[in-house]
Amino acid sequence: MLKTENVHFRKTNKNTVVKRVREVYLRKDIPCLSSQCPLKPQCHQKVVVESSLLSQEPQYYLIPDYSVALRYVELLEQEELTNIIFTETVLQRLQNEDKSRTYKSLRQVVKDPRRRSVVFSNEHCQDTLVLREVHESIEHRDWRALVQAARWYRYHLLGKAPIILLSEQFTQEDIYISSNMDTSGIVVMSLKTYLDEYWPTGLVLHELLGSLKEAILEEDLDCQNKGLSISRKGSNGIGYQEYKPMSELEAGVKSERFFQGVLRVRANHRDQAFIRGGANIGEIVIVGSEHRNRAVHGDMVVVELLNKSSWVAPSTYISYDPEEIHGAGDDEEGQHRSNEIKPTGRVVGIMSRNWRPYVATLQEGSEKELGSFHLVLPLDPVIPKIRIRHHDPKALVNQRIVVRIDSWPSSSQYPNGHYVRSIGPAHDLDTEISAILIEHGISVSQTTQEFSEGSLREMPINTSDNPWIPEPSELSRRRDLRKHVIFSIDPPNCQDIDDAISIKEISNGNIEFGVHIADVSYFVKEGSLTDLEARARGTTIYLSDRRFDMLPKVLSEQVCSLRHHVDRYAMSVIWILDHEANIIDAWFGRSVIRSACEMEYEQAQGLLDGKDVVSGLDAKLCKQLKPLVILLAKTMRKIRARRIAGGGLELESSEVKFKFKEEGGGISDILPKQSLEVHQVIEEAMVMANSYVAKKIYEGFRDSAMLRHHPPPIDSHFKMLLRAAESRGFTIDTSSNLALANSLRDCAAKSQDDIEFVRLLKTMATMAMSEACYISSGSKPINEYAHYGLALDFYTHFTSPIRRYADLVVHRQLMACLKSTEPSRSHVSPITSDLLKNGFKMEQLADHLNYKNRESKLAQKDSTELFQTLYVLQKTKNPAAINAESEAEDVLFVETGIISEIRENGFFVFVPRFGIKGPVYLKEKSGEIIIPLSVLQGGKSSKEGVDLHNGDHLITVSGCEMDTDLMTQICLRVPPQVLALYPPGLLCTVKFRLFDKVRIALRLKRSYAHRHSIYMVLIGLHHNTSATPLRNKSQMLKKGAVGRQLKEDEVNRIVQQDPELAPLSKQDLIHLIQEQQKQFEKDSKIKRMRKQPVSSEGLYYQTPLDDSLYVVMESFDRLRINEFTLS
Amino acid sequence: MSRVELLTPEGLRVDGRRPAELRKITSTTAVLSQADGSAYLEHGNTKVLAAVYGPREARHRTLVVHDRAIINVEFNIAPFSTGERRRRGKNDKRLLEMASFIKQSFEPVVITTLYPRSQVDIYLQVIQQDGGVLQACINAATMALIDAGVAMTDYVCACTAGWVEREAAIDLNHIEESSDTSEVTIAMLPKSGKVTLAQMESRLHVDKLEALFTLAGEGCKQIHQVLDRTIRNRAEELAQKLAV
Repeated sequence: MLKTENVHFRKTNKNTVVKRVREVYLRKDIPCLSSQCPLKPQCHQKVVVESSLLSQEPQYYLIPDYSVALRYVELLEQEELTNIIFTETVLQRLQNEDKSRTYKSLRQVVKDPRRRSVVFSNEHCQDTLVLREVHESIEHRDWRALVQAARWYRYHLLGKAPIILLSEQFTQEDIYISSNMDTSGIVVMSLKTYLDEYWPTGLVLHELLGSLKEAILEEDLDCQNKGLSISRKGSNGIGYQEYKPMSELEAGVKSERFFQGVLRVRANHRDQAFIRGGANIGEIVIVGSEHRNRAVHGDMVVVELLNKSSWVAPSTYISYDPEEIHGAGDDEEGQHRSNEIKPTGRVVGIMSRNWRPYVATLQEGSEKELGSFHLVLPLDPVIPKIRIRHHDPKALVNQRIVVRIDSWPSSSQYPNGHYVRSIGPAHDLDTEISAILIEHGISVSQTTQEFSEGSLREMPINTSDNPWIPEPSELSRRRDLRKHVIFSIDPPNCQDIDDAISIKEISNGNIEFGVHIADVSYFVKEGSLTDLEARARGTTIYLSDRRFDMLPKVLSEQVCSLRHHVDRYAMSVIWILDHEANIIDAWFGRSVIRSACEMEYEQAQGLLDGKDVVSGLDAKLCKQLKPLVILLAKTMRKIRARRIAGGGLELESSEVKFKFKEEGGGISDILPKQSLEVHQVIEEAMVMANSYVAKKIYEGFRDSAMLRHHPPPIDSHFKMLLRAAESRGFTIDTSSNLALANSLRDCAAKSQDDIEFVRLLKTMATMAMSEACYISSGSKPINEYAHYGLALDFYTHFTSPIRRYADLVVHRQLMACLKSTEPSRSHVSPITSDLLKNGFKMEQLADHLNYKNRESKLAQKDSTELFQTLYVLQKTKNPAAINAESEAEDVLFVETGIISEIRENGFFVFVPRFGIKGPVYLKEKSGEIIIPLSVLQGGKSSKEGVDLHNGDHLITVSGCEMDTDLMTQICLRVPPQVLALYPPGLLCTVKFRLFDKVRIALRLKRSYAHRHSIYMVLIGLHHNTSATPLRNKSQMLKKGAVGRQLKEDEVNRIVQQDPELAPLSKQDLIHLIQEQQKQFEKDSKIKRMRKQPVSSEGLYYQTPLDDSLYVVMESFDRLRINEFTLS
Repeated sequence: MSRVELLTPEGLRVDGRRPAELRKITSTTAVLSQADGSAYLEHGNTKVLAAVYGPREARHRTLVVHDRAIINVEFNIAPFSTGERRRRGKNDKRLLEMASFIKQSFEPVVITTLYPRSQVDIYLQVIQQDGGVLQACINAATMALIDAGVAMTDYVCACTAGWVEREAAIDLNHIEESSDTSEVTIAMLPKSGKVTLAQMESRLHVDKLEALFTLAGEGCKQIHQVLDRTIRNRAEELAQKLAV
């Protein structure tokens, strides 16, 4: 090995110049990483290297230079471009210039096996090192190094592939100047000419190039103006604080002077962000954009604590408007109410940015402004507005566009970004779904449902004239279960059937019970193109109306899917159970099955309920299946009971599904997911198979088994659940999963009449749970493998390999454990074969799958919300009014909901029918309090929904015109579980408790830049709830002391006495309130004139109650008299 | 100011070595005529000069041991050995500690009982540092002792190994050493495989220790071959001179 020295000078932090000397060893064994390599053995086989290889028959190889890599990363990230050679020269320079984000993106490109791109370590290769000459610029030396690398490739591959050097800086002529050697076959191109020549139809690429060019232009302009802006900044002092140097940050974090964490912005309070600062400090709140100091949601930041006097408690308001940034006022109010004070801090530095492409919309009205800078509002409310440069803003109006953030200089209020591409018109269904997919980082290949030709070539053939049949040679290797009665139970119209079940009684009362899972691992070989694509996708994504598959359709819907009446390969787990359902024996292995019946859940439930014939199945089959289903249910009940006795939780979530109209694409209904007993039965069978396989693969792979781990929840997450249960007088023990399960069951048993309460309670418990995740068994100690929710020591995912990649890995591990993979059949490349055994790689894979899973779940949630809003939109749109712009014309859409969370200015209502949770504001942004009439009418609300229109049922109790001290007449108090309302003068209290049922109208808040959101308007109380009805105290009115707040004890007494309501009519009430308001105004006017406080005596004067209508009428008379005398 | 990537995904370290490769070692013996034995050794850019005096009469009566020789190590780092000049006092604790490490690793190997009531002085001067100072000093001292003809049971070869990014690497250079890597130095008798010194100053997971030990042990054996070749060349040279 040759040795050389790399000598350079560097300025240190103390401004001294230091000479740095580094050794460089030059190697001969740097591989070309091309499958074209003419050497035998090929040069990458001689060294241990993990990399994808450049493809066999490429048109050309691409070598981008620094100018391209730095500024056109997005272009290089496009999946169309393959066979890129990244040189070490470029990568090192990126690292030296602190462009780690760009560096990471390029590394990601190399990692993706589909891209067939490699890194060539030319700086360490003996033949390609170029030393810097005296007085030579770095750019020029690097250019020479690239040309040298290109020449080396030409020479090494015997000139088989032409090489294109991509450069925005140098041209073809520069090759000859830099070296007078043979440079045939090397073409220098700018990106523009390259795209024109090779991708004339690639519209996306051209568009992207154009927008990137613009962004660069802007950056250059900024550089030119830099001198100017610095002087400007100095003069007026606007701008953010500069970040501290990295060395100081690192030292600070180590000495615990600073805290490091991922910045999260609260979605409902964009002014507040927080980080988890570690065990001894907990959550650190960052208030205001000044303290956040240019950090964006998701960045790894370093935070310095502020002094204790400015520590705050998190606000308990419901934010009125997702687009409105709250001032600090809210937090001050929150401060003296809650004693949960949290430390606050400010961002002093950023460890790493985590910027991704954002979906955004041009700010309203921005297109009319001159100039080329425009602000866009990202769809995700936690992301700040982004300043982009675009020459034709009119083209972007009402479009969802993709934007990237480039930089955030300290002098700028908003980050600078650039336009990448346009998705489509806002609020269009397809656009919104694409937006969801982009926001959750779901790759283009998955969203277009495409697979590369190469991977489709790997697929088995299955056409109607040439159906796929098992190979005879393969049949001999598998256990033949075609004689067994095997059936599957799935939702209606299920295409990808993962699992099937068999059960039968054998001699001496034992039961043979089998779970058969589609054998995907047979068709998808490790390391094949399909496998790589599926690994990148991670999971099938189910949105409300569509599905994005992980595997090609021919597998997922046909060859792997366990359809009935056809032979299919399966992975089977067969247990022998005794009559108490204890496992006596188990068998794992590959098999071939023939499903007898694709049952739907409802059909199975029908059989289980004792019906002899169910719709959709013929009688003979029913007769055959019925005893099996009943036996299955009986067995599973026993197993489930045992697991639940061990602490398994029965949780619920509020998932819904949508029913679509046959034509016209509307939603016909939203249905909550049903829960039949059959669901539990199937679930239990799958849990049993999963946990059993988990144990097995853990035995085989001690430190690399793919397990599913559900950590115990954090105690503080139970707070809401505990409080909620307390409001109904229950206590919940959260010390262990068994205790929790028991106390939840206890609650359920005691409040059987209130199913919704129990459901909500269970949902709350579900929300308190930590997220389950995949782990590689080596990465955690053995006592942390347990699954908390299911109360199992080992758990994994085994039963859905068609839609989850993790299951596929588990299948392979199981097969490896069983040692039945014949070496002849596996053409596994040496690069990936150790994946199953390598704990570190398995951990990385588990992290990747966790990420993909989470994103797909979030996408699913977003799409559910999208369809919920669509549904509300449909329902509220007045059929008569074509112009549905004005909300007043909307049709009321009334539903019953439960109060699920109480806040200071309103509460959240959960509508179990649709699974929608939304805010109800009792106090408007302006401070006005809005109460529906029916609430004041108390129990009379039962019929109101029918005849109320156009919002006339709401009474605005205006307080704006009055003195501030009179404002206190309306007061919202927040004891933890009750929101009490004291309307003026009416002298009644309306209390809202947690879990009270209310009638609400669903409304849609239309938004320009964001998705529409659902909010709710209170219409009335549900009649059997116990809100305190109207109570009228005439004496108070007479004394003119209207509107004063009652003391708490008085209110309580009224509540206790609780006589029959005064049957007031609606008109009466409106009248009454109008009268009172007039009274108020006059009162306050007089007060203002006199500038005297109202004497305190008589304010709280009280006489015994009288509830007759007569008294009320009398009070009106008196009011009128009062009015006269005052005027 | 980004952190340097110590091990690229292509498996190359910052200086182009693979994890299990040593730096280039060059060594010469008998570079000083005044000393009884001397050696000059380079591990890449780490350069050390060693001089051995003795066995000779002990300087101080109080230190004399009547049945064997004592070993005295003096270790010094030149102020110009790093990019930024830094002077160390003679009683710098770090220097004394290093000296005592070296002394400890030689005491069981030098057959001191052959030289009662005497002392062997080993002077070590680090001329340039680029990581792995202790291993270079031990190796240089071995060469100088052999050059001086002091009786030893075996070579003492030292080598470092450390955990770089997520792989065990051998013979760390300065950049690798200074970025929070756990590093272990072992000194070994290559023939018997006995370890006379194992030194580590940072935390390391116990599971990873074995890998480091094995790797460093292999490194010691390789270093032994290089040193042995130099000594044999030198011996041949001397033999030729005698023959003439």
